[in-house]
Amino acid sequence: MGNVALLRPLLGGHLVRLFLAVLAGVSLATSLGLAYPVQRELDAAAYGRASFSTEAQLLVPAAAAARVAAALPGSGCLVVRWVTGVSHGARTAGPVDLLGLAPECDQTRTTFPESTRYAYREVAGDQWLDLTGDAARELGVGPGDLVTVFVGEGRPPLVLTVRGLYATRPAGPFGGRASARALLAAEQGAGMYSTLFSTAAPDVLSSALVSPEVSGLLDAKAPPIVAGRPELGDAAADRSAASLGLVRVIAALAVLGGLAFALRETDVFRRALAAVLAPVHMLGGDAPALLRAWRLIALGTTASAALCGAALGTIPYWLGALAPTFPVGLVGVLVAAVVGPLALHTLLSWPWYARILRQFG
Amino acid sequence: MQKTLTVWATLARHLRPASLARDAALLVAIGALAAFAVLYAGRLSFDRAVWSAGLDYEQQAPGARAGALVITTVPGFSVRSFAAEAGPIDHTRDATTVQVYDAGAATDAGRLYAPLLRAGTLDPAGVLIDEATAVRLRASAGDLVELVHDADESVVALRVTGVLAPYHQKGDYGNGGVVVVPSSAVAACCAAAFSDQRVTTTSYIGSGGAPLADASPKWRHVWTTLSDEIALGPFVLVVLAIGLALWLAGVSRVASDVRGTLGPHVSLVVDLGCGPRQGRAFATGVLIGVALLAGSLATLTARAFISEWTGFHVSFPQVWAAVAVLTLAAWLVARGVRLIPVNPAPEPRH
Repeated sequence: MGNVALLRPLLGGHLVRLFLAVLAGVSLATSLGLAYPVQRELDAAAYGRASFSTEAQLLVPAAAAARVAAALPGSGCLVVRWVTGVSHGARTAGPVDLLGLAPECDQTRTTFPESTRYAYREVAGDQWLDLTGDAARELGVGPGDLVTVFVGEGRPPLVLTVRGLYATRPAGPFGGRASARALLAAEQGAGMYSTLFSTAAPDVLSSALVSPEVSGLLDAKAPPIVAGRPELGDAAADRSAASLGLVRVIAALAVLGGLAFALRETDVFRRALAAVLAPVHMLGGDAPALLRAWRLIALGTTASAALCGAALGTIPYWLGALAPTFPVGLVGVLVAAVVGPLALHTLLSWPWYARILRQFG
Repeated sequence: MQKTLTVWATLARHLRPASLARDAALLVAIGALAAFAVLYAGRLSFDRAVWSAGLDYEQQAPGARAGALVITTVPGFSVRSFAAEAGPIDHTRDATTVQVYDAGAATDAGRLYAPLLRAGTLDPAGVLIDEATAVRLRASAGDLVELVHDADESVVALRVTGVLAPYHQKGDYGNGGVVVVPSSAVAACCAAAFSDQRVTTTSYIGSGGAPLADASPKWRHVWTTLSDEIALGPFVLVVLAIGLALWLAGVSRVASDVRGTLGPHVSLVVDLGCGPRQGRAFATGVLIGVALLAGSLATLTARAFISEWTGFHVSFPQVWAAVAVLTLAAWLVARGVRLIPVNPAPEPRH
């Protein structure tokens, strides 16, 4: 084993370069490579993580909303839809796709899945507002802050208190949801519910919507259009892929380049090791044992560098430089899924590496 | 010369083709990010420079001047595949500018656009479209396209007679598009478009033409185009820096390998009485060759990703410009790295 240390002057520099190259390559692949899956998750979560089964476009007069909700199968949520602007002090965001939830709504059945919520503070009454992370960042607000919602020309704006922030983009970056009662009161008119999220299957909901009991309550001008959540999720993923084309290219090429860079250095180390062991073998040294030992040292070095690199790669997310509205904890989960097995192997191997390294001293 | 060839032939026998091929393959993967960054960051500047420098004229002046070729630039159009030929897929290029010339001045217009033609010719019986539009519409000379005025949705079907270099409207960071048409082709369909406030008219004077008052020479417009501020976000600049750093590190590693492979043999050749210059030139040539091959493949890979996933069009002249940038960077590394260990000069004997 003492011979392992004898080769340190010849291979130590290569080992350091191997560590640095793998560190740089993996941190690059992690930081830029995660940009696309993270952004795509933001775009697709509204449907991918939601707990409703069907979305229907329809027109329900506000006065009939409670009766329609009671007559429909499953649980769900009728929604008033506004496209408007919001502001906080001098900062504005818009257009915001604002959902107004009916009083009898099950709030977990909308395009703001509970699993994407990353900040929350309860607000009493109807004057609450949930925002997408992008909208909150644009306005610079968090839970408890007051946000002004533009209602219409000549009408006093609506002031709501931010309740929850969600890492999702249901219909573009700026979205929100509030109580329909608050929106309809500000509108001062007979409002219309225009969207229904339901746990019923699409065919079941379609049948219910054309039944005499329900169809008579709907506005006849707009026949209901029903779509299943998987179908809507696919459409959202396609839109995401189209709008994130540039991010996709950068992520793919960064992963390719970063990993090739790291791989190249492992190959260089392998060649350097072979070049050193040839004369050792000719001089009567135990080349196979040395080869095994140095390969394991290289493996430990590579694994350690990969772990450190993956951790370094998440720093831009922690700092908010990349995907600032994405919960950083979830980035950690993504990284852990990739480097977890490597980390386990490294941790289990550390006692052995420590013993080898002591031989150097 | 014979000595140089002998040295090169000797050294060539000691190269390891498999190792070089592996290095080149890894360099392709490493260089694709740099190639993408160079292509993306330089796309607008390159295309605008090619367009403004390519137009064949001596001077231009705003407005319509007698005796000059007058081009009217009208924004607010889209081009789409001709419905009968497009089949079920709708191919449309939005944000298209129309450049209109007088049908009687086709010869002068042909001369103006000739250096920018990639295929076909200018013919007053049809129109020219830019390369990005041609790629998106899958159209070539002889095909029909539909020109749509966005404001009133008036449509006219036109025959493509040629394809021009890529064109970008000012302030447009996408592909934009251009259609060069004779006045007769759009007079009937799109008269309303000419009342748009954004319509501009420019007079071009070719070589030998009488100079106009307040006309400015071509070089000034080319310079204005080149010095236009191109907004590159910090993210793109960071990607550019990271990509080029990776590329330089990769090339430096290959240089180190080439030195390791050829160094002992060059030392031997030098000991046998040949100067070190031939060996150094050979090693540099090998490195540049690998970098050129890898840079070309990396750039083509990046171009394929850009075309497939972003819809942006990158022309082949820009591809070769990016390859030149990567190869130049490799050459700088080759110069910086001491490729061949040179034996110290022998002590003079007294």
